[in-house]
Amino acid sequence: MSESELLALMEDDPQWLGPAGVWLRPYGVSIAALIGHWHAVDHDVEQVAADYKIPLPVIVAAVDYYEQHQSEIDTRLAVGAA
Amino acid sequence: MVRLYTDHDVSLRLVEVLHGRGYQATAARELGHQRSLDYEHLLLAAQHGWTLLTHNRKDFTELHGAWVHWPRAWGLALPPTHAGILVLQHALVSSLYEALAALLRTEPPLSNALYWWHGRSRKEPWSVWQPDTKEWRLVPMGT
Repeated sequence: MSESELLALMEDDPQWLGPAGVWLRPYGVSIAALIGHWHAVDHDVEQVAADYKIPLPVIVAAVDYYEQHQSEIDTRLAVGAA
Repeated sequence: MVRLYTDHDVSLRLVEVLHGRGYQATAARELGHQRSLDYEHLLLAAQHGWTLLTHNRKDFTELHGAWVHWPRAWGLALPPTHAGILVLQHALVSSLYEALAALLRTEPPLSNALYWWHGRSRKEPWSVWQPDTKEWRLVPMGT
């Protein structure tokens, strides 16, 4: 999945400003929550895709997005807001 | 029996596992509420008598505090009742299920209560929010 294809799925979560405040429109799940789960399953993207029932390419793209905005998303996860 | 509702950030797999173990559980996504905001999830759950599952400790602690305290501040006799909020750390789905089952087996008081599974202690992995002292208290899980 290209970055532009992921961008087409992304939408700002009005409850959290900035790069960490993005959710995937068709699923409602925030990228921060997916990353929280990704950490919990030892970075197994296939497990995240299966658990959330989201296509694997979307999860891979979400991880790429996380790597570009790691500090912001880690901050959101650290305060328990995703 | 407790009826569970998961917000948009909880995996659908957990709902499947809960169904498989005989629990009544509904996901926001199943109802088309995947883009609802946190306060809308809490209101929906409260209106249906569902216990809400979430990973979002920060925002639901604030919402729960407002839910409990604001009616009193406005002179209402009692706050409306929600059927409990259970906050889960991110973990393997199997671990989340085991944590939930362990808590629910103790039949904890859920009405207008906020619980947090942090997994920090094997014996007492759950805490319950104390609105008056504004702190978490470990929940005794028995043997």
